[in-house]
Amino acid sequence: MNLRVFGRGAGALECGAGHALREFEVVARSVGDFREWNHVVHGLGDEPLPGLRAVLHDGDLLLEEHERTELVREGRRVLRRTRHALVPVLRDGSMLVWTHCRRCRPIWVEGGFGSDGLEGVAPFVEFELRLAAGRVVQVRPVVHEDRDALRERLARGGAAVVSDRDRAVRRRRAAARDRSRP
Amino acid sequence: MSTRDQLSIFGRDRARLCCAAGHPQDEFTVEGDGACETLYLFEGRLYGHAGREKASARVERLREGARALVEDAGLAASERTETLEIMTCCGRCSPVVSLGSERVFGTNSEHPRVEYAVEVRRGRVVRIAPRTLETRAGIRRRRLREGARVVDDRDPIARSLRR
Repeated sequence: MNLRVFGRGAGALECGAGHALREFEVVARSVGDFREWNHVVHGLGDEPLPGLRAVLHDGDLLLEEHERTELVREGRRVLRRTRHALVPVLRDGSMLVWTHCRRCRPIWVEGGFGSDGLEGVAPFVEFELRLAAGRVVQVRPVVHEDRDALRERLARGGAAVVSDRDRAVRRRRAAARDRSRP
Repeated sequence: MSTRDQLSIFGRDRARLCCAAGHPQDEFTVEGDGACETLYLFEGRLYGHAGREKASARVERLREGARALVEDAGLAASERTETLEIMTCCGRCSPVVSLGSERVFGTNSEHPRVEYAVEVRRGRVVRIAPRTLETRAGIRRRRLREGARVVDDRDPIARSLRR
């Protein structure tokens, strides 16, 4: 299940380097079965679970329910606009959410499939969100890794960590910069 | 493995692409090899996804405390010149049900086929020509010719498969 964060209270969800995180995967829960959540939204009972998507808005947990997709013209631009109704999940309990920080520079290790044989690993972050009636009342960092901690973890696990000053890494960084330019 | 593009129809153009029974269609498969992309037909013009532009999302507060998530993705006007052969099956027409196939439960339900040729010049639709507009009676005749046991529409099996 995917969780996106909007509005107030999002500041508590930052990586070790202080980058705000807006998108997470949910890995474990004690706020009831997702199947049950699906039932809350769609009333489908035993229908197969679709890719459930949730939103945390101003600290409230809500489930997305697709309403409609339309094309709209705004000035010279044409936009595909998708609207989802947000259904409150009024539950107590806690859920674990994780993500990799995409704004931190990755740590490069040998063993990738690219022509330079490198693979980038981004810092990992995991939080426990405590909920009361579907409202987040406490955010507890479970894993709160910065680049140094990640480098140490990878080296401890036996990975061949490549220095940030390595020529291939610098080339990768330059290519990423080029790609991000408009 | 070949991949197909999808064509989504929005606005008035839906009424130009109907099945034989007059149901407007909004989703087609483009025949031939594609890049598994979704193309859009809107106000007589073809659009595709705008390469690097990221979709924006926001939460709107509505009346009585309700909330909605609105996602906007920019589309780019296409400059393609080609004839798109598109097809779909009308899900709003009741299916014609026949027995004796190898499908699950031994029934085969078929919705009428809808095929059009959409001629596009520099991204603008210049002509839409129907290729196949199958009717339920047409399916029934074909299935009978093929030796299938076509089920009457009033049969409980057919009724259970109808929406």
